[in-house]
Amino acid sequence: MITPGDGITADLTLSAEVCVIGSGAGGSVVAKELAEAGRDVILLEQGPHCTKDDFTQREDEMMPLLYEDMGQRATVDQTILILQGRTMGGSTVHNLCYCFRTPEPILEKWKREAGVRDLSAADLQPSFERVERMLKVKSIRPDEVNALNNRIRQGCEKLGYSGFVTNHNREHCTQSGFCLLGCPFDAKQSMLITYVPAADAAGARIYANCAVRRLVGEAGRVRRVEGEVLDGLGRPRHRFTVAAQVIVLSAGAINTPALLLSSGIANGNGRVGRELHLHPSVLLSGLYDEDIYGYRGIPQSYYVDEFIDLERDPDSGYILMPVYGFPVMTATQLPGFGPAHFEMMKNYHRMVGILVLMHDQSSGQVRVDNRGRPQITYTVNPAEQQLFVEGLQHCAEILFASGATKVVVPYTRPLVLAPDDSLDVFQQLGVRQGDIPIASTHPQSTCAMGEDKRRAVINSYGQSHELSNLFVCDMSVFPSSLGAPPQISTASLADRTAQYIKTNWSGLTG
Amino acid sequence: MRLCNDLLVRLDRRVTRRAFLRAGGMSAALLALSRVRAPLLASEGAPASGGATLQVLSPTDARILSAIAERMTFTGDPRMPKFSDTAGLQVIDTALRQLPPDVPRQLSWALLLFEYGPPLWIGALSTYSGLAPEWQDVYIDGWADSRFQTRRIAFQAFKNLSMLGYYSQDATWPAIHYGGPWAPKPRRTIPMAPPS
Repeated sequence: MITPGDGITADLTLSAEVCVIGSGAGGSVVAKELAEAGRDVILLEQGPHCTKDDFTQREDEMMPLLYEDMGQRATVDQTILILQGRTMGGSTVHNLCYCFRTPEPILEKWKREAGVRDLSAADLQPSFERVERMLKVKSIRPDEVNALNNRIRQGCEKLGYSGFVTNHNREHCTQSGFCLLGCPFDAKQSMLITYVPAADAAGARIYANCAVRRLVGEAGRVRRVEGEVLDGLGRPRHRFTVAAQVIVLSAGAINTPALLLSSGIANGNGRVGRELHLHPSVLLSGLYDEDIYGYRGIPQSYYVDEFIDLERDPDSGYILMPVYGFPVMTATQLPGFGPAHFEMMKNYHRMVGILVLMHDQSSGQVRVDNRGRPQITYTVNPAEQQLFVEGLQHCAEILFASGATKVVVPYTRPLVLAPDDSLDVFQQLGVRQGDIPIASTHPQSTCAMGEDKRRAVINSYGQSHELSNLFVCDMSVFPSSLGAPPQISTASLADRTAQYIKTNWSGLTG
Repeated sequence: MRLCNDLLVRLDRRVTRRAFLRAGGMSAALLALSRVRAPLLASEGAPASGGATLQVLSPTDARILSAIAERMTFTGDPRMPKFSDTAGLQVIDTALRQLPPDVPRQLSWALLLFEYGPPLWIGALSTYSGLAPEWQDVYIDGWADSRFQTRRIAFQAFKNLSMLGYYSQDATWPAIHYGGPWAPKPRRTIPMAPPS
C-alpha cells in the first residue's frame, strides 16, 4: 500500500524487518527485491507520490513538484546547480533515460584502487539483466532520433567524431519531449511505474511525504529511524519512528551523507561526504536558420564519446550530449535581459543545445549545517577547467559543422560566435566557476565502497563498515566518478546489495 | 529558474546589512528604511494582477520585483504582453511558497538592497523604481556585470524569477514558437499556506 502524507493524521510508530529510505534508482530496487523475497519492508520517500495525471508539462508546476529545492539545489558558492529528484521514483522520474552498463574499465579501477571485491562485469551480469528487463531497456530506433540530436550527429559525422545512438528505457513513447517534467503517458519506465509498484504488489508498505531526519545507532547497529511527515508545502505535520532490523539508506549522494553526518554515525574514518564527484557540465547553444523544434521528440538519443576513452584512460575525459530546455530553463540560461534577450528567445525553436559532461577527478564535499541541511562545496580543478575549454571548442565546431549560424555561450559577459570566428576565444576566456553556469545531474561518491576501512564508508556489498545492519544503495557508493550515465549502474548495484541481504539475512539480523 | 535558498542565505551572509550600509556611507537613511521592513513583511499579502492575493510576497516585495521583472522581460515588441499584464507575480509567489521560509525573507532583504542601491552604485538620487526605464537597464546591467559576485548572484536570482514568471505564461509562447503542453491538463492546485 502506498500511503501519502495527507493520509497520515497522527504521529506514527512503525516496525518492519527492513526500512528503505529513498525510492529512487537504488532504494526502489532493494524494496522490491526484498519484499518479493518475503521480507516485511517499509519504503520511505520524502517527496510526493505522483501519477502521470499530475504531470502537467508546465515548468512552473513540475519543478517544485519533482526536484529537490524546486530545482535550485546548488553548491554553497552558488556556482554549480545540482538537479536531483524529490518524488516517488527519485531522479528516474525526470531523467532522460540514457541506459549504460557500468564501464568495465571503471569496475577494474574500483577493484584496483578501492579493493572492491566481486564486482566484475561478469559478477554484475545477473543484476544488469534483471534491471534492464524490469526497465524494458532497448535501443532507440533511428526514426526516434529527433531533429536536435540529428543536428549533433550530422556535425560529428562531418568532423569524424565518434558517437552513437543509445539505449533507453521507454515503452510506446509518444515523443512528446516532456521527459524532464515527468512523463504524462507512463512511457518512461521510471522507478515510479516499475519497481515501486512491484514493491507495493509484493507487500511493501510505502510512505510518501515522509522525510527521515535521523538514524539512531547503538552498539554497532542502527536501531531506528526518526523523521517527519510533511504536508503538500513540505512543512512538518507529524512525527514518525521506524524500528527495523536492516536499514537501507538510498537518499542520493547529497542527502545520504547529510543524514549520516547529522545523525553522527558510520563516520569513524571521517570519509562520509568526502570525494563528491558531480559529472559537472557546461553547455552552449547553436542557432539555425531552419526550424528544429528541439523540445519535441526524445531529448537525448545521441552520445558523443570521441573525447573519452576509459580503456586507455579511466581517470579523465568528457562526453558531449545533446540537451534542450523548456522556455523558462532556456530563458534563464541565455545571457542578458530585455530586448536583446528576447531576440534570442524568438529563435527558441531554432536552437540546439549541447553540453560537455566531465568525467571528473575534481572533487568536493557534503557537510551539514546546524539544522542538518546539506552544505555542498566543489572546485573544478585547473586541468578540468582546461578540458572544459576544449570541450566547448568542440561543441562549437560540431554546431557550426551542422549548419549553426551563431553559437551563444552563456558567460556572465555573453559570447556570441559566428561561423568564421576563431574558437581560440575559449582559451582566452577559460571556464571558471561563477563566470559560466555549471550544472550537475549526477552527484556521486560521497559514501564510497571499498575494503579499506580507513578510506571507505561501506564494503563491497554496500554494508557499513561500522554498523552491521546499515546499507547504502545509491550513487554515493561509487568509489570514483562513473564516467557514464548512472541509472543502470545505480539500480544494478542496488540489486546486487539486495541479493546479498537476502543471502545473508540470518547473519545480519542475528 | 535558479533562485536557491542558499543563494540568498549567502547573499545575506556576505553582504551583511551593516557592511553594506557602511560601504555606501548612507547608513542613517538606509538603516531607517531597513527598519520599516519588519512591519511590511508582517502586513497582509499584496494583491496580484487578476485579483489573486499573494501569500508570500509583501506589497513592497511585489512592487520592487514587478519593477525589476518589467525590465528583465521587456521585449520591445508591442504584441507581447507586459510582465504586469500577466499572472507572472502569482507564479513567483506560488513558487516561493514551496521553498523553505527563510528564502522569501532573504529575497525581501535582497530586493530592498536593490531598490535603494542607485545612490550607492550609480550615484543617482533615486530608488530603482523611480529611475527612468533606460537608467533602470543601466542599473540592472551594473549588477549583472559587477565585480562583486554577490551582486551578480542577486542579478541571476532576480532574472530567474522574472523569467519564471514571464515565460511560464501561455501568452508568451506563440512568439517563441513554443507549442506548450503536448496533452494539456488542468493546472495543479497548490495548497494554501496554513495560518502561522
